[in-house]
Amino acid sequence: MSELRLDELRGEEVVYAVDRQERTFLPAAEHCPLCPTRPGGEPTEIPFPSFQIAVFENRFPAFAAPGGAAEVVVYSDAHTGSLGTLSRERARALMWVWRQRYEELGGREDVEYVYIFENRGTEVGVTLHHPHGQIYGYPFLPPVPAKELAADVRLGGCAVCELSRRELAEGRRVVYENEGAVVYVPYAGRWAYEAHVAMRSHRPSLVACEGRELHDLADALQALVRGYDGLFERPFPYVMAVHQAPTGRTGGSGDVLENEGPARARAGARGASEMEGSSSPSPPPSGHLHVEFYPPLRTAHKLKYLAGSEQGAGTFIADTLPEESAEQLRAAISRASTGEAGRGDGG
Amino acid sequence: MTAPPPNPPLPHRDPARGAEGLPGGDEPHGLRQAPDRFRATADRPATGDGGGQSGEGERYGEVELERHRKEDGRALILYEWRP
Repeated sequence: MSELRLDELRGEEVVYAVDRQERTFLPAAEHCPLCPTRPGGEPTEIPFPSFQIAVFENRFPAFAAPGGAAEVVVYSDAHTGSLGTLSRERARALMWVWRQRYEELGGREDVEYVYIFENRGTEVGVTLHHPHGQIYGYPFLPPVPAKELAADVRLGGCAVCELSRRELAEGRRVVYENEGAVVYVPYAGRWAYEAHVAMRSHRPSLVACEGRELHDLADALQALVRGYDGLFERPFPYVMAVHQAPTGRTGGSGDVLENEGPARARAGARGASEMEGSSSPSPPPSGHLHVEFYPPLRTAHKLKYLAGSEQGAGTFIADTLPEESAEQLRAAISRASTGEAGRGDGG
Repeated sequence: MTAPPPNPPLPHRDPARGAEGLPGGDEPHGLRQAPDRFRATADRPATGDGGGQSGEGERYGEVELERHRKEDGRALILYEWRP
């Protein structure tokens, strides 16, 4: 059972999940716990000889009922592959799986925020190579989505709507778009090849999306991951973070912002200046479905480390400009889409 | 800039549907209320990639899901693409 302690100095929760120290660490393929259980073979987490997508409660959970949730989402019964190599149908199915989990976990009283994510590559601490993601049901609103809600207030409306509008208007950092989603390297991206996949229409969560929008989201995610893999001709490590509306009492109520104090006031003044001419009243914060990718590579062989300024001062020092990264990434996505035309491995 | 619409209420918390609006019963943890069908279905035959199965499934959008419980009590859900 995990223990929550509040770091009073930073005003942030810290989760102590000491059982996770014993979790499976980079097993050989023949001992992969996420593969299906083959007849006569070693039992795995999924006691079936085949499956499409599986979700199960984490054996080493950071959160567990009645204090949240931790689940594993296995994308395929094939041991190799990635989000990018899934068939288009499987990727679209995955969006519905995410949606179902968001809805079900979000309905629990002990879950304040449903966070779908994927860690890909040993560079970001992956312990199992089988294509999979995770879902945490936090029993509190974590700091990053709380900051995004604060940005809604600061900008006088949905921040992701506004930032997407700016990116589309400028265009230089947009790397992919379809009818329902747009992908861009953000103006103030921190990682060299950071990218955000945002829904074009204001959709607080997957639950608010129409079926075709889920398809567009899947297509955009796959296009981006395939572009990443083509960028340096190697599997591209990343952390993928799906940000949606909180599901607990903090969602839409605005009470999460009550303690923002002076910082909120200053930010509000600046936002009013930047949004001069906007007559929209400040709506309650709600969130906007978007997926953020944080890749640690800054070149084919060099990693960005979070060091003194990033960890001790909280200020990111970037080695590249988003516009230059976007140009490279846009070309890589284009090359990958040409090469991938008609491809689908069924995984 | 237009004001975003509010997040739609989640079914479990939609007052119109009550606290028990979705399968999951009288506990708040719907996943944990799933029927224990692990042993009954664990030996179903392999059907190649995709793991097609003939058991009754719960429909959700374009996927069908089948709830199970592992031997140690943890929940497991299998999903299949059913557009």
